Amino acid sequence: MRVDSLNGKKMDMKSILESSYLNYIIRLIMGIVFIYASYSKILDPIAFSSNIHNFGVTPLYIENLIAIVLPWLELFIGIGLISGIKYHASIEISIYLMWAFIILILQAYLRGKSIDCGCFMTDISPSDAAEKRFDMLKRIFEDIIFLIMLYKLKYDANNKKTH
Amino acid sequence: MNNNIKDIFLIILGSLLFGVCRVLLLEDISFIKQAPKSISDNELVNMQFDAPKVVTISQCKQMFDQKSAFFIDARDSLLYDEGHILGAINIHFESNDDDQILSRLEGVKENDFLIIYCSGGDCDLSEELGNHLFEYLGYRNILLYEGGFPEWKENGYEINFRK
Repeated sequence: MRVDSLNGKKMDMKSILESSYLNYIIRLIMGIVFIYASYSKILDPIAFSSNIHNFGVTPLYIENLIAIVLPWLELFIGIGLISGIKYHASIEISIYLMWAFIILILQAYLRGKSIDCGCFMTDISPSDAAEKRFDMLKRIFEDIIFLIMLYKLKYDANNKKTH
Repeated sequence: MNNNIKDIFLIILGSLLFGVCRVLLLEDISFIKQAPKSISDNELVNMQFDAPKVVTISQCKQMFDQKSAFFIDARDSLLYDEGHILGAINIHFESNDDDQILSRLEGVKENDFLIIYCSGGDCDLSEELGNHLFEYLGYRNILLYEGGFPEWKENGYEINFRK
């Protein structure tokens, strides 16, 4: 497959995947996603705390710890991914978080719960239970895409192709 | 690799620090959740609790026999129709707004004992409804029966169902 590159030269898919431009775009996307996700949680920890509670998997003291730490963690790794400060650590934490989100939403889905995931709290959440469950599936799919993007960043960072 | 772990630790520590500062700056720290506490038989005569309390099945049965409490079924109407504690009022929190809740509680005074239950196990509908009634609608004597309808039914106590 051949695609026109930005500077007019012909590039094939392999070189696009290896290009550092793609990595910068992924870093920007993931950075914005994390910063956007953290924003409303920092502003309204009470609503976020209720969302964690709905998952019904963690004891209360863990729920409280997550409500306190997670919003800032998302903000810092978002900044880290975009700016390159503590880049490797930011990628590692993002990957752990993404796995945790996928497992959390999936277990809630399989247990028949219909809840707001609290991923992006500024979203207008569907009120209907069936719509909520469909929304949970969409979130899982979305997180898997994010995870693939993050693994690409990790692979390239380990091979010192970028950064 | 060691540097990476150090950085991960640093980011998490930083998030914790900022999170704690955020909590200290907040006036409303109600998002720090506490598990509802059990109540002794002696305390059951006291009015005006500081938070919803947890009651055992024997305490429930005693209040049921003495008709000293209103029972509220927090499950959805389908489950309620299949069977509920005799005389229980059905209030499904998610599908009722405050006006509907208050209309169902017509005749119930703010100082009356309200025993709220759902399906037991990890069902938290009763806790959600109890917290809402306590915090926003002014009911001061909220009791949560965590065993819920399954435990009540297993014990062969009085139930009712709609055909």
